[in-house]
Amino acid sequence: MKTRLTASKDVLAGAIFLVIGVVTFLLARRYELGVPTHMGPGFFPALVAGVLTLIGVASIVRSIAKQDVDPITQYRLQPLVLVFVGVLAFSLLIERTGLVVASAALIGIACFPRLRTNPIEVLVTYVVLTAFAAIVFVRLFDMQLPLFWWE
Amino acid sequence: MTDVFHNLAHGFAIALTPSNLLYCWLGALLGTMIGVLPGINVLIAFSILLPVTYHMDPIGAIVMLSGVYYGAHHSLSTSSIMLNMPGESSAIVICFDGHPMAKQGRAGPALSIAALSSFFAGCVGVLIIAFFAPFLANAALWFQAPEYTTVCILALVGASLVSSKSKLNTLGMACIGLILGTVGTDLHTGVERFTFGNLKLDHGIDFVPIAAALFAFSEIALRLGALTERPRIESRIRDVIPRWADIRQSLFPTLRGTALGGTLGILPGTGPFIASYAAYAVEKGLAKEPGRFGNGAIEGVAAPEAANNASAFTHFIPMLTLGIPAGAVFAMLMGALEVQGIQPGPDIMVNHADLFWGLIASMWLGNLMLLVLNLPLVGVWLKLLETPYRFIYPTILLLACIGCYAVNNQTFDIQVAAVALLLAYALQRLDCSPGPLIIAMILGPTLEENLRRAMLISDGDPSVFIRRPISATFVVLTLALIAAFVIPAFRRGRSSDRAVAEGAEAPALAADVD
Repeated sequence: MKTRLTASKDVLAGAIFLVIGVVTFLLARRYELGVPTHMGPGFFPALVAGVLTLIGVASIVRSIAKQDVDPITQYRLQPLVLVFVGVLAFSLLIERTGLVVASAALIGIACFPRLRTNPIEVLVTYVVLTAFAAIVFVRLFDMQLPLFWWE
Repeated sequence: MTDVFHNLAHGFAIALTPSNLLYCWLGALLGTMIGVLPGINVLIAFSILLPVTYHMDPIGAIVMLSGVYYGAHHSLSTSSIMLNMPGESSAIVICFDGHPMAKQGRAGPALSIAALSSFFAGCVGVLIIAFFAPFLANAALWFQAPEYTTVCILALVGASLVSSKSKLNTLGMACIGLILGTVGTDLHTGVERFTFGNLKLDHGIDFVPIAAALFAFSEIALRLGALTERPRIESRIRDVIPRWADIRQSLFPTLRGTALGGTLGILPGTGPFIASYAAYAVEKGLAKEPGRFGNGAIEGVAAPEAANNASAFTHFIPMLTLGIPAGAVFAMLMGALEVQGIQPGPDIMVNHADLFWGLIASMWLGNLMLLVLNLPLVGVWLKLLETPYRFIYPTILLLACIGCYAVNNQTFDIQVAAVALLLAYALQRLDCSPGPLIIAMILGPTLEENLRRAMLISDGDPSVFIRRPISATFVVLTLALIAAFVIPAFRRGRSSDRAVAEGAEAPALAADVD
C-alpha cells in the first residue's frame, strides 16, 4: 500500500487548518461570544479558530506564490492502518476480555507482517510484554486493569 | 544567600530519604535507557509513565520524571557518537564531531568527555536553579493577568518558531492545541464547549491520550512506514579514559557551553537544540583551526553537550517559577504536577518548599548517579543501542494503551488516542511539529483565563498589554522572534531555508523512503 500525493505539503496542511478553523469558528458561534470586557464561552475558541483559519490561508497562499511543489514523500500506509486498528481493538476488548486477550489482539495486529514470517518471535514478544505489564501495572502499581474476562 | 544553602540542606534531607533516592535512581536509569534505545524518547516515555505516577506521592513522581528527562539528555550523545543517529534534535550537533571521532577509533574519549561535560554542566545548572529561581519567583510576583497572557503567547510562538519543521504550520499546530484545551465545561459560565453531549468530555480531553497519539502512535506508524536497516556500530571502545590533552582541550569549551546553555535555558520556548547549536557555532568561531570541526574535534563534542545539559536543567526555572513550560516535555511535567494538585508558579517555593528544594537536591544526586551509571556500564548501553525496533514498538504500543486507559480507567481515552492518531499522522507527514500542540493544550486554559481577566481589569482595552512594562517586553520579544524568523525567510527565499531545516532533520529520521 503506497500513497503518492503530488500536491504541496503546505497546501494540504493549510487546507486542514482552514477546515478545522472554519468548523471550530462556526461551532464556537453557537456559544455566547460576549464582549471583550466580559468574554463569553465562545470568545476565546472563536478567536483562536480565526487565527488558525488565517494560518491555513497563509500556508496555502505562500505555497502557491512560491510555485515550487514540495511533494509529500512516500510512506507505506500499512503500518498506520495496523496501529490504528490494533489500538482500537485493544480499547474495545480491554474491559470485556481483560488484558491477556486485548494485548494479544493489539500485538497480533500491530505485528501482523512479522506474524507471517516469524510467528514464534511475535508470540514470545506477546508473552513477555503481557507478563511484564501484568506484573508491573496490575500487581506493583495496583491499577484497575482486568487480566481475564472472568475478573 | 545563606537562605539558599539552608534550603538546599533541607532539600537534600528530603531527596536522601530511601524512597526518593530510589525514585531518583529509577528515573535516572530509565532515562539513560530511553536515551540509548532507538525509537523511544522522553515524550513517548512520559506518555507511558505519567498515568503511573498519578499513583505515587507528588515528590517521588516529579523526582522520578525529572530523572527520566535529564537522564535521557545525558545519554543522548551515545547514539549520536556511535551511530551518527541523534535520538532528539538537540543531539544532532553531537554527531558533527562525535561520530568522526568514533570512526577514528576515539569513541571512548568522545563518550567520556561527553559524560564529564554533561556532569559539569548539570552541577552548574542545578546551582543556577537554586540561586536564580528565587529571584525569578520574586519578579513573578509582579506578574498579573496581562503579563501571564503575553508570556504564554511568547512561549507558544517561541516553541513553534524554533521547531525544525515548517514554522507557520507548527503555529497552526499550537492553535489546534489551544482549541483542544477549550473542550469541556467553561469555568466562568458552566457552558459545555465542544462536548457534543458526551458526558465523558465534560472535564475536557485529557492530554495523555493526545500525547500518546502525537508522540508514541504516530511516531511508530511513521517509522515503520519508512523503515530501513539500522546502521551497525563500526568502532570498538578501546579506552573510556580520556587523555590529558582531551581534558585540557575540552575545559574551556565546556565552561563556555555551560554558560551559554544555562542562560538560554531560562528563556521560555527556546529548547535545547538552540543551545547546543549556538555552543557549537561559538567554538567553531573561536577555534584557531576551524577546519578541524566536523572531523572529530573534541571541543565540538564537549561544548554542545555541556550547553545541552545546562539548558536541560535551567529549563526547570520558567516552569517551576512561572508555570510556563520550556517545551513539550515540561508541559507534560506541568500537567503531571497539576493532576497531583500542585500548580507551578511563584508560590511553589512557599507552598511546596519540600517539593521544590527536594527536586533540586535530587537533580544534583541524579547527576552524580548518571556519571557513575554511564561510564562503567558503557558496554551495556551499547548493547541496548542495537535493540531491533521490532521489539521496541510493540512495547511502546502496549504500555501507551495501558497508560491511556489508566488516566481515568475508561476505554474512551484509548479511542480518543486512536482518532487523534489519524490527524497527528497526517499533520506530521505535512511538516508540522507535534510538540507545540501539547504545550498549547496544557497552557490553553491559563492563557484563556488570563486573557479574560486582563480584559476585565482593563475594561476591554487591549492596550493594557503594552502599557505595562513587563508585558510590553514580552510583546516586543514575541514580535522580535517573529521578525527574526520571517525576514530572513523572505530574503533568502523559502526553498533554501527548507533545505537547511531538512538537512538538520535528516539524521534524526534516519530513514529514507523505500
